[in-house]
Amino acid sequence: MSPKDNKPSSPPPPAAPPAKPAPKNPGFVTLNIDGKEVTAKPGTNLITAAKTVGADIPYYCWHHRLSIAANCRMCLVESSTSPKLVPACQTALQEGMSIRTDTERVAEVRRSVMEFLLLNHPVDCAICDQAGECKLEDYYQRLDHKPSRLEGGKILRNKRKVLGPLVVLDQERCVQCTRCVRFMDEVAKEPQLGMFARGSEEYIDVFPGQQLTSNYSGNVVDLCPVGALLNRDFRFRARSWFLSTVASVCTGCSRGCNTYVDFMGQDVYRYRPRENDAINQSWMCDQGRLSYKPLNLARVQAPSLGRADDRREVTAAEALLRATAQLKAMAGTAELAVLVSPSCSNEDLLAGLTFAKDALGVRHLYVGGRPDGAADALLMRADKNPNRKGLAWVSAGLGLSLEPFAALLKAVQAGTVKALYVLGAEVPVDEAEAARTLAQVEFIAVQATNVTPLTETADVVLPTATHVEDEGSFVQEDGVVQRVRRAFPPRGSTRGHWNWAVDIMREFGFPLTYESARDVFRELSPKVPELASFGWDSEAPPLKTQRGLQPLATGADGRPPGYREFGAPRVRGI
Amino acid sequence: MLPAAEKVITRNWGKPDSWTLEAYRANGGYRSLEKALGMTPQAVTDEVKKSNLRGRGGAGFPTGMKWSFVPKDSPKPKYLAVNADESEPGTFKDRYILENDPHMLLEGVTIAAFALGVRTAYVYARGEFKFQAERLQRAVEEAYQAGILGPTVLGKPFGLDVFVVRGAGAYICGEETGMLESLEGKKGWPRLKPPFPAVVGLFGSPTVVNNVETIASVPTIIERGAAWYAGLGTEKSGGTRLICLSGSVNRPGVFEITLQTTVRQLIEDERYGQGMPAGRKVKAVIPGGSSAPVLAAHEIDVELEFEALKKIDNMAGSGGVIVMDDTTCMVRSLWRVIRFYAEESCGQCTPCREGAPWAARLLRKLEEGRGEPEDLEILLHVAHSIAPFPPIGLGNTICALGDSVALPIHSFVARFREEFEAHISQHRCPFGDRPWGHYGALRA
Repeated sequence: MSPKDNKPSSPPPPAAPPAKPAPKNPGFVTLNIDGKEVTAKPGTNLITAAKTVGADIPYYCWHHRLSIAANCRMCLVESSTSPKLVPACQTALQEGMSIRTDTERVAEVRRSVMEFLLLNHPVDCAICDQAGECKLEDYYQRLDHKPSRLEGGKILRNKRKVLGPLVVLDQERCVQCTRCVRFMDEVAKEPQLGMFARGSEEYIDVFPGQQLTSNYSGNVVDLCPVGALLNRDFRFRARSWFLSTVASVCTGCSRGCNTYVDFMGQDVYRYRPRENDAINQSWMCDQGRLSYKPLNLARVQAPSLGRADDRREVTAAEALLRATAQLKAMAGTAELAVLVSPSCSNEDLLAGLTFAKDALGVRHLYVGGRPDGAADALLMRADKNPNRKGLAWVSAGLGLSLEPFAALLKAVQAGTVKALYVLGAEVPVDEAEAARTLAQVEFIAVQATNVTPLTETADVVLPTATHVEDEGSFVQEDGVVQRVRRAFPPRGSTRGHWNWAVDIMREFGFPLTYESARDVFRELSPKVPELASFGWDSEAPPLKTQRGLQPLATGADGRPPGYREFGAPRVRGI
Repeated sequence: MLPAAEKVITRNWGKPDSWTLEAYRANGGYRSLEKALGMTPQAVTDEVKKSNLRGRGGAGFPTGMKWSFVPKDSPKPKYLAVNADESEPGTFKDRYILENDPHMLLEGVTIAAFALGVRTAYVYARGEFKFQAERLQRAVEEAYQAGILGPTVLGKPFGLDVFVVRGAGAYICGEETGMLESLEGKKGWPRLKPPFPAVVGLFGSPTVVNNVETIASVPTIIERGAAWYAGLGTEKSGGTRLICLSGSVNRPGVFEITLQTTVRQLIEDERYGQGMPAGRKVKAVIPGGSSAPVLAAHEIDVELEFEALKKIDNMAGSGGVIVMDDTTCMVRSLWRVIRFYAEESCGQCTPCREGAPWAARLLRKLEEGRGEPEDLEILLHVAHSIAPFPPIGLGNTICALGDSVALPIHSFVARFREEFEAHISQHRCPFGDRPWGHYGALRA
């Protein structure tokens, strides 16, 4: 051993541990943080416990779902159990211990760690995507706020190392917290990242000849407390403080990972995973992360009539009249079929299926939806439809049976289907081929969010809002009902599936007064026992999802939320 | 007159072919192993405990106590890891043991393994110890052939395998948990403690980590008895110890000394340092490897013993005594020391990773005459942010490498502040630009 060995840093373990004091609150650990008594479950992290009494201990490397590294040394606090400062992330709670997070000594060590971290940090916040949501920035404002005392150059490293399809690394901005390395090792279980070299020259990288190809690579971008790991899809597209955020659910597969939708105006810029212990913990897969793109691209924006070259945009009233005239004639006959997608929300299904049953008089539904895809052990599921379970519940509640998509194709080829009403234009087979087959049907009315071959062959296209443009709820694979929040009003002339269904039912002569998805759920969900107990309002994620300044509330000044003109952002609190 | 130290570790050094099994046996080797195998493991541990043997790697932790921390009822295998990653600047004693008497180490390993119930032991040699590791490996092979290692040890129902592993040349792998990581094939990043290696060590199993010199002392303790060994030393520390004397003395080298020997005696005694080169005076002495605080000339009457050095906020460390004479520039010396630690910082903890290169940069600035008055305060502040001092052991980092950066800075500046200030006010190094100063009086 060398003399540095375990002498100061590893005090010898005590020969016989002193008798533990009797716990003040049996079953719990009672300790003192900044003079305030804290009672916590044994095993609680000190950082978490301190938050309950308002002591916000800063940290970089700690993450509640990763192993403890204790290498950033930002969370050092004074403890009655040690003459040294101890890292809060690593310190086990002990009965009767006393922690100080507010002393001069702690403040000084935080300031010095900030200074150390900024020594070789390029401070290129002006061109950094992390600016605005960067721990270095936040803690500098809060804890350091002093100019650098370092003279001369900084260590130069690779500023744009492409690690994989989704992630690019700026090695100069890295603070060596190893969160990304630990995530890939422990959660993704694909150890594709490593820490190379030694001392201040060390850097994160992929191993030689390899790439960060994991389906969970996007999470390292979220984990990175600074702007070192960046999302290539999002990079240089928006300043984070101009983005508004709303809590939602990923609709990429049946797992239903909880997300934040970051948007500006009526464009979604990215998904970020939202904490949910039961479903996705703190993560989401890359496929789900990129599934926001159809919300912006190739949207059906206006109602239209006529197939192929005869297509023309019309008003909503005209489209509704046409659809009503055609469908009413065949209502109640076997010549009318309804195709429904398990990607629609519960409210869409409740209204749409009520329409199908009461107005169109069908007894069974053909199930469309996206085809199955790749799956993995962590979060991604083969079923790419977010609400198959909801469809099963709602159809059963309304007494409708479900038929596979292949049965519809067969019936069309047999010529027994003369009219088709489509709720969600996704099909589980090759879209172009399905559209060619379905084109044999004399009349097709489609409610669709995006342009697909099926919308091209439809006689009536009703443009539909996506899940970020309307309130709603989805049932994920385990039967958990999850609310989504509306980010911004529907694009163009789009309306929710439920809204079209309600409108067309009015044309059919049903006096419905539903004004919102909430009304639909309140009125129709009692028919579905599984949904009846769901607290549509009480179980919704909070509207205020970020601390600090908030964008203007919806429509506060007559503009869509998140809408920004050039110039200073209008935020509450300034 | 200083009493001559009993030869415990060095007794076979210099004898013909002392590194072979034949010669070692001829000199009485492996008899303590036979004696130990006739005792109970607990009796061996008790004997070591009573001998007051303290770890020679740097921390000076009582060896017997360390052994007794190993849980007796663990279902996992236990390991013994011998730390031969001797990398501390100024320290070269383990290297002599490996070269001159590898079988004494092996005998110690076997006795320790018997006492601890270990079936697999590792010797982790530093990457640069190619020759030494090969010599030890040959000794291991000899021992296997002689039936000392292997499925049975000297015919007794106790088996032991010993593996000699070479590191890749990182100082931090001498830190005990860094060494365990390296042994596991990982990057040598020290682990968080607790748990200590005695409970969760190599491959997650209870592991005892001991220094080469510590383990090599064990055969003699068993042979001559704990009372005899304890009697050689002081009240709290038994035996003799190896000192690596280097720097400005007439006779640098490895010496086995009694613990009552003072630094001054070590430098001046005929059997050890034989005094300073003609015309030169002691200016400073580092008593325990380069990470120990420096002693000024008036402080060198301290005994080279754990408690005595601890009393003056210093440490016995690894026994690397570095003597600097009055032609040595302290700024340049400190710069060299800190450059070493900046290079060898593992990069895990922020203060050490970023602070050490910053301190090295400041020292270079001072040494090259570009220093400004506030630089000295910044330097001290950097050191304070890595590890406050005194006392030793308040470091803000996971392992003690942070302390190793801060302690020299604190102690050099505290004792030789005028010299640092002279560099600033004169805008040059008063000793000139030769690597270790030029041999002349300090220029005004």
